[in-house]
Amino acid sequence: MKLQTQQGPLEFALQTVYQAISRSTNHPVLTGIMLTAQEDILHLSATDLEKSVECVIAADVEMPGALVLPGQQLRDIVNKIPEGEISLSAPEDRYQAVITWRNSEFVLNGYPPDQFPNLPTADESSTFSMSAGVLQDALTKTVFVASTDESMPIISGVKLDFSNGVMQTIGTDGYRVAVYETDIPGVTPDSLQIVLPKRSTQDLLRMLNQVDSVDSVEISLSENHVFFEMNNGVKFATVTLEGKYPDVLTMVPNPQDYATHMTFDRTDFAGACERTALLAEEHQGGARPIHLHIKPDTLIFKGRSPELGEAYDEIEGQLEGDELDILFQAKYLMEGISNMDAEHITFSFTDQESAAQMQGVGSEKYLYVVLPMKTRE
Amino acid sequence: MRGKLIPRGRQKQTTAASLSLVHVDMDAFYASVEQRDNPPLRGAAVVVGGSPEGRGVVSTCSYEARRYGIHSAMPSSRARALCPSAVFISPDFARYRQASEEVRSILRSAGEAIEVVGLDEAFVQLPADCAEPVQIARRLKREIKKECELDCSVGLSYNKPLAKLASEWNKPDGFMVIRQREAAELLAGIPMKNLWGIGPSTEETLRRRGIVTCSDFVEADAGLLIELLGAGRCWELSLICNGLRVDEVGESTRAKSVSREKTLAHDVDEPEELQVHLLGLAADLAERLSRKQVRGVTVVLKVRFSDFTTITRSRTMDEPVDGEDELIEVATELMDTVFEDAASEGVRLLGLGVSGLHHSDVPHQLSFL
Repeated sequence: MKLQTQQGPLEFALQTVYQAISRSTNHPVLTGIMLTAQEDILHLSATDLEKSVECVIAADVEMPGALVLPGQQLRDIVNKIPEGEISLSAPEDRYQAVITWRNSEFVLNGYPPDQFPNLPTADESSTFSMSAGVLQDALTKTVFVASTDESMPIISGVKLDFSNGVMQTIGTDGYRVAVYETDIPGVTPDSLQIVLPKRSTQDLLRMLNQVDSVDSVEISLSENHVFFEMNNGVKFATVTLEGKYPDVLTMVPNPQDYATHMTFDRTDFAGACERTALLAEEHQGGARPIHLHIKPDTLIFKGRSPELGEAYDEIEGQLEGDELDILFQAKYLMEGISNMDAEHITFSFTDQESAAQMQGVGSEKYLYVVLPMKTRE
Repeated sequence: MRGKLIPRGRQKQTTAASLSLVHVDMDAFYASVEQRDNPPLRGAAVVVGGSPEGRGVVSTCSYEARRYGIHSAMPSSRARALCPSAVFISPDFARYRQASEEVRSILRSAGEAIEVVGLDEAFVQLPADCAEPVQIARRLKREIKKECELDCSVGLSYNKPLAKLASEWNKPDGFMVIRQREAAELLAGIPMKNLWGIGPSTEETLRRRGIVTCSDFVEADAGLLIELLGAGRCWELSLICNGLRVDEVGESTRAKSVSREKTLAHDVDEPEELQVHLLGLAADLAERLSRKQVRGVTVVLKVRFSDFTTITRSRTMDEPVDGEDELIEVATELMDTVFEDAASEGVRLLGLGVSGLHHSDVPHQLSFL
């Protein structure tokens, strides 16, 4: 293998695929990045067997070939080289690469390419495309709710449900549910449900966030993988979670069940919540209860810790329905409000022991449902 | 650091703290309850504890018994040898708890808050603007005598260590007031080991450097004290010894664990004897848990041997426990495992506690699934 390429694109490609390498493994080849040179391209890939990332850059290939190099060192070396042309060559009889830039030369030991796992391949017939921005927004607003509890693996993922031009994205941890629903123009599957693992979803989001140049994503499927190909040449694949995703929407109250609707300014609420949480007592598992007292024109926040003291805050609001006192984990309120875009938010409640719903005024596509805390009798 | 922790000028630069902290310590509590409930025992040498026939030990004894040299943690057989006419009674914790509750209800009526230390002692917070704290403290003592027919010693001061020191000043049936203006002078000659919270190991650490009394401590070099005890601990002791500490009995903070421990007066190696101490600890712990309205999921037994090696054993239960019977059952099993591993040496300290606390007033998160 022998080729020349530019440092800039190579650095970007390495940074991108590096996100898929295995962080802890007994198998060294999984900490490596696979390089394949042919015709005028260099193909880079990495996988931890759950997810994989592939990337293609232009290269001047004198001799085709393939090699796996240790991911971290390769990335670090290329990071430290200034912009310009880099040469990479590997003798055929050794798993070793020579990287040269001006007067610098690195000889980096690698692994045989045939030990690198085969990456999953998509069934091209199922491909459809959607806006990268919409996918990013939908995943961002739901993945943070996905469970980290291993006892129920299926909810440690984000559910994507495509049906007749609508995409519904759901995350839950058993205490809250986040639902994002939007129309997807163009050709989309009539009926498709997939559950993406939480970690993979976060990795995909990093890739979507990485560059502004990504504006559309091609989605393809195979039996147990889903593929996201971005228009900057980056292809991300992840296993999908198997099992029946619980029908959490049936546990969410119907809109007519809500007896109390409080509408307030989003930043007022976020600020009061953060301030009150400072003195809310931390219980097992990190829960910090905040008391909300919902009055006709005011929403009162109270946090209290026997050791530290008490916090009181109030914000203006418009009440529709009954007054209510209710208790929530501070974190659940703060995470919910921080994912709202609208200037004004309506928080709707049934009673002290039922789920409550947060939704932006004039923003129908996203809702966040959260269960309160209850004091033991 | 050179020089004293708190310079002499600073020692006087303080606003006077009000006399608002009362320490009530019941005299020979278990034995007194027995004498009260059984009139023929009044005036007799009464020993509450294990049987003198076996390897039992003395838990508490009446002041009449103390005249014979009997003291708590002494083997009951030795107590009998010292005073053959002594009456031996096995402890009845349910009755002592009942008596303790009666005393507490009197304390609650007088103070703003009480902090219970054990079945036989408690602190009472008097109102800050209390005009006649001395009269109120005396009245508490009289009421306990009248209502419960039990003697106690009462100390009145402005912080807990001094209130406790005051209640011990002329025990039994004692009464003592320590005001801030006389505290420093009064404390000067007091051995450090008499202060609340000074255990044998701190006492020994200080004694080796010639620090025996509170005035030795006050005069000692700050750098040395910090080296010996660490900054936090030595600042705390320094405030006490200079009479500068001010306490309030307030709402107690939410504990992570609750435990009781007891240093035995002599080393014990007989399981039967240890069992008696364990029973007392379990009763005390159960009482504490019920007062704090908590239960613990992990039971922890601590055993320190005469050579200061310490073994702790714990067991985590499926459900949190708080009952005396459950505690004693687990503690006994844990004790057996200690002796499987330990070289046969005397035990000098026993501790029993629970962690992984479930507070009954803590809210829990509701779930969809």
